Amino acid sequence: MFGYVKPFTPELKVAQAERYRALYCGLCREMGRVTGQSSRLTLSYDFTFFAAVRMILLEEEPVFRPVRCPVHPVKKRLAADSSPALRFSAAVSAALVYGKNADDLADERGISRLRARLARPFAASMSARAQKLLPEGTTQGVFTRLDALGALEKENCPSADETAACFGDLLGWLFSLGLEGEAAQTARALGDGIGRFVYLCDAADDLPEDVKKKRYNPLYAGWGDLALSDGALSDVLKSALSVSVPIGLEKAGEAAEKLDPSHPCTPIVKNIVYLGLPASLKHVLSGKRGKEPGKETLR
Amino acid sequence: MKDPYQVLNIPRTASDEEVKKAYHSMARRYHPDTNAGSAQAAGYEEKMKEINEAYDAIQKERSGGGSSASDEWGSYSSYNTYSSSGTTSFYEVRKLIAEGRFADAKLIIDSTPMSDRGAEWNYLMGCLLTQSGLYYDAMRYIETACYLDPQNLEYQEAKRRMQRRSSDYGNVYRTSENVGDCDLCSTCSAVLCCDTCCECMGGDCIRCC
Repeated sequence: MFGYVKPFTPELKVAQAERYRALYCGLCREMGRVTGQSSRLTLSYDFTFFAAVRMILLEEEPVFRPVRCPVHPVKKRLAADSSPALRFSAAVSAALVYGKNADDLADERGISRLRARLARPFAASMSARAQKLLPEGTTQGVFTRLDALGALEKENCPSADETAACFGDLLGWLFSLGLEGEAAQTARALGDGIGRFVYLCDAADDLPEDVKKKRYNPLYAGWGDLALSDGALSDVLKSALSVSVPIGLEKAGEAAEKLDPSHPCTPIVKNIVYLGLPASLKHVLSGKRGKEPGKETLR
Repeated sequence: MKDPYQVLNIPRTASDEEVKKAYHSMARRYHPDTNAGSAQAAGYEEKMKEINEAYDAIQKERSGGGSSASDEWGSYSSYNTYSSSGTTSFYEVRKLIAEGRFADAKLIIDSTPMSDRGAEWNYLMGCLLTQSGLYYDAMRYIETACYLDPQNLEYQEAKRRMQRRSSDYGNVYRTSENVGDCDLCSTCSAVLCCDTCCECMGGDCIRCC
């Protein structure tokens, strides 16, 4: 969906990088099984992270197996076997895609709206198939939280903290679904940090376009014309974000420390939280929109 | 109330300049910001209040009963000597922040008219938001303060403090990954090992062992 929640691969061990890719493939296949083949198009890095966190918290050992897949027909690749954590991740992903689709349908105009309308039946069927795996009231919960965010956006809320906290609340809640006690708290802190991070990165990424099309953007609402210089992010805004966004991740970092260090997915989650996210932020602030981040952030 | 001169630890004959100096050095020592987290923080807050009151009283006495805005400004509860502008209400805000009464400070800040919202207002807003953990907005105000008044060292320091904190993020990962890579101990033992091998071959690099 957003693509900001990725590991910083240069710092990953080869085995961990391989494991991460296998998890990604495993989630993709699981989505095909759980919510239908078309739902595999909505596969995201964000939910690979979600699946990794869930595996650690459910104390579930991933099992990898070489498989052939239509996307990579030539060589067999490792993929994680079907498991409760992956199944749940696929279902939650479907619920969020459905909520986002309904949101776009209500708010967007022009091409985006048309796209949302075309995707509607697929999103609806994904969500319907995911229902039986999710706790009661999940879809409703997604809607309430997205509506709360929508209300803030409609009144042109100038506080990036408030809007980002709203999205953080949504993800934190999704992460903690079905968990209890300390595991739920850890999951919520991770989800909350990731949610706010993604929301702000997205806002910074879309800022020039949003201003051009006169759409709501939390950063523009707060900073006004100080946010832009020559149609790109201004230096003051970049400086403020590069400082405040990592500070906003501190709680997620503390939560990552609490994960079981012996689980094979823990190094991946830590890499994402500590290095992957800051690297994504750097990439967004550099303004090279859409291009894959290179290794220029290596240090 | 205690004798204000006693509180600041100066003789009654001290010049205005000396009073100011004494006040600043006391304020620096007891300011809650410099003692954040220490066990005596609460006690220092009380002391800080006393120092502020003493300075106010001396200022009042010396300016002949009444106090002008600039005098009040001078008694700002931190150690700021370089602020160029200021109104009574901001002095009030700083005092409240120093005493830890953030909600009251926020009330004054929020009710400041648009025309008075200069660099200092932005800075104080940033400080208050940092207190509540609203970092994205806090940095907006601190950056704006630095942008409006690039010469002000106090604002720059606030920004630097945040930058340091931000650059600390992720260090856990790096340090935990590199433990035992190459420290002094392993270097020494490697040298000793080499020497031992050397001795087997008839040479000796380190005579004493």
